[in-house]
Amino acid sequence: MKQRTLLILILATLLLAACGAPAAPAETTNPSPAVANSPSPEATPSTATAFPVTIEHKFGSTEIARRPERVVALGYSDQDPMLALGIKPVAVRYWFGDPSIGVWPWAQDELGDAEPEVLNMPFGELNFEAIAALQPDLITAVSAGITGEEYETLSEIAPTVAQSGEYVDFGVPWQEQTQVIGRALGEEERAREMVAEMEARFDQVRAEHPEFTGATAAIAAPTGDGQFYFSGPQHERQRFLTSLGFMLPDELAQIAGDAFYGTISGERLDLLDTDVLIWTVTSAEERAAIEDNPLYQQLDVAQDGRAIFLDISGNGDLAGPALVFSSVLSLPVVFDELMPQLAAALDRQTGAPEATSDTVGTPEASGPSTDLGLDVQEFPADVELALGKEPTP
Amino acid sequence: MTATAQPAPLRPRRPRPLLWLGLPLCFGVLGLALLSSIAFGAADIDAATVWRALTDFNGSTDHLIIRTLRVPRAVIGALVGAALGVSGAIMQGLTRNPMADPGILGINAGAALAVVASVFFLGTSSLMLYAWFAFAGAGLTALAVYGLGSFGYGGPTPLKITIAGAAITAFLSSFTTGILIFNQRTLEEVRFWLAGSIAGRDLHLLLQVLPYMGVGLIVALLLGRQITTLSLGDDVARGLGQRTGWVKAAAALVVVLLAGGSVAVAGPIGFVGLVIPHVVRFFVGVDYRWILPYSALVGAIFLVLSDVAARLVLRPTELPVGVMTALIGGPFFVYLVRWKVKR
Repeated sequence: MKQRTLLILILATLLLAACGAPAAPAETTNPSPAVANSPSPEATPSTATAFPVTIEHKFGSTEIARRPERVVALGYSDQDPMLALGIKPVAVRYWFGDPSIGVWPWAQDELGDAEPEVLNMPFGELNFEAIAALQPDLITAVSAGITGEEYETLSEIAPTVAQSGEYVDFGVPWQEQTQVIGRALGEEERAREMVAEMEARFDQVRAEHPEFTGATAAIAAPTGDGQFYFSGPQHERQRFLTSLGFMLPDELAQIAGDAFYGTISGERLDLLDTDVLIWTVTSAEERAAIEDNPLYQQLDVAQDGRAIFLDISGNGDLAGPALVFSSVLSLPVVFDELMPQLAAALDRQTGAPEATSDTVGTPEASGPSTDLGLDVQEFPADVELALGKEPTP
Repeated sequence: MTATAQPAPLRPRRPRPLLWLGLPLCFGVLGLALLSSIAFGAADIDAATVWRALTDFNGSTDHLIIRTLRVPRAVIGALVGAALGVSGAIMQGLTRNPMADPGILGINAGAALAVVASVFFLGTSSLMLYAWFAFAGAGLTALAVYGLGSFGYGGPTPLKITIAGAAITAFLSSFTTGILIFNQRTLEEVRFWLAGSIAGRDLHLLLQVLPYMGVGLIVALLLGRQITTLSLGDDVARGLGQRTGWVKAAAALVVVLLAGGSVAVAGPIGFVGLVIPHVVRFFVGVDYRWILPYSALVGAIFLVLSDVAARLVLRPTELPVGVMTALIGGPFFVYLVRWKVKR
């Protein structure tokens, strides 16, 4: 009896709250980030007004009635924004590297002593039984690239937030990913703040490194049969570079088309002769094979040493995996580890030594930086890496 | 059995001079195919530069493309095509199963499992190592299939070998699938090898396998008469005084050398071993003394041309040639069958 009364009371409150202030509930109820930060019992009043939330996505819309408590992070990088918002998922999706890795080192502080289950399921082969056994009350699949059919099945298990239909699958930018997950978890305001903080960091780097703006950059990997993958404009790791002002050469963008990656023949390595070239490799042999390739050795980018090799096997340093994730938690690692390498690579440009002096000289005042500011906005300055159906680790 | 005891000629025998004339013709076509393979590709290189790259190498990018990418690819394509064609023909003759191809004796399955297991357990990641594991896997599997097919009354009959091949293929494939499901990383590493491709292989790799494939090709051509007899049935062959066990063992060894070698270099490329012998038989009749050399030539031409097409359709992206052989070969095969039926 008591329970039922309580339930009715709660439902009534929810209903009232939902009808009451649809316009700007967050402003009134989330007065400070500190409150939103800790989803403790005290925070209940604020969450009561946040829910139910309805989230639009590629396969329709999903209503989340209550603050979720058992969340399965099915998207390959969904756990990061979730942990950043202080919610510990009951299970995370294995992506690459050692099969035991579900949460990478950059998110360990946020993870604390929680031990989410690591779901090791090949792409396209979701183990619905294992997911159902976790008894989730929310499934996030923002970076999972699920199909409509998979969405239907998942929805029978728990409310499921799929990827946005506005981007290619796996191409949902980190800003969008963070905010959607924030909304689903009732932490929208905090998510927005985190995105703003991170974007400020991008702005700061662009200001500190005006030489990035307009320089060409590509991210590539060997396919294993003599061809090469490269990230397209919609690949999150490429968008990271774009957000810093780098440009993907038009020819490469055209080849990639709507896909988030493209493939070029080994005969056309010249297409990768950019100002900075990032190779993602999984082993020392793979790197050696690239460096020993006589055609690669002919490229200026190789001769000047403007190529950066990132180990994405998970056994090397974290810059590579962090770039692959490009999540709100991994981006700081990318800034710390990759930024100096990018700057150093551009310094080695033989053709244009002036670019280097510009860095120190007149950055803000010169015309280009305003022009380029506009350029940058054309590419949604948001972005992240997509996980790859094909070219990912 | 009564039918085979009285081998009525299925189709008229081609006059010999025509068959002899066809050989230089095929060599000519193969030469043209190789030239086109060297001249066309993802990069645009004019004919004069191509010629200079072959005769007067200067180390420029274009010359490097010709020398380090296209020439090895053309040569490997021709050799693998020839090996697949011949091994397919031998298997079809030996097992008297028109659907026989390097898949039937478990060659592909054994090679694939060996490579996948080596990547998974040992972390191998170079094509050179793949090649040796593939070769070993193919050889061991063939031995196992032949051994299993030899048990019981009557020794290694075609039917028993075919069944043993199918059973072992299923057995090994389930292991391969198991490993790949268990570890997605392994899948990524071997995906291209599994699709079948002759790109990105250097001549060094070919040179390692060449002696084995060369021996296989020569022995195959010498076995032509015996296989013709054997293709009429064991009883007939024995009645004609053939030591069938010996011939079968030699032919099986040839198949391992050729099919195993080509799987080692190029991964499992489908369709060539199945279709080429049928195409050849359609033109030259049922005599394996002709079927084998023509299968080698036509197989080589077909694979080289398929590879040219594979890199031209989606420039500057390339398709794995294994995809292309199925795309080109399928409709052609259907056309041939229909034409044959109408007649």
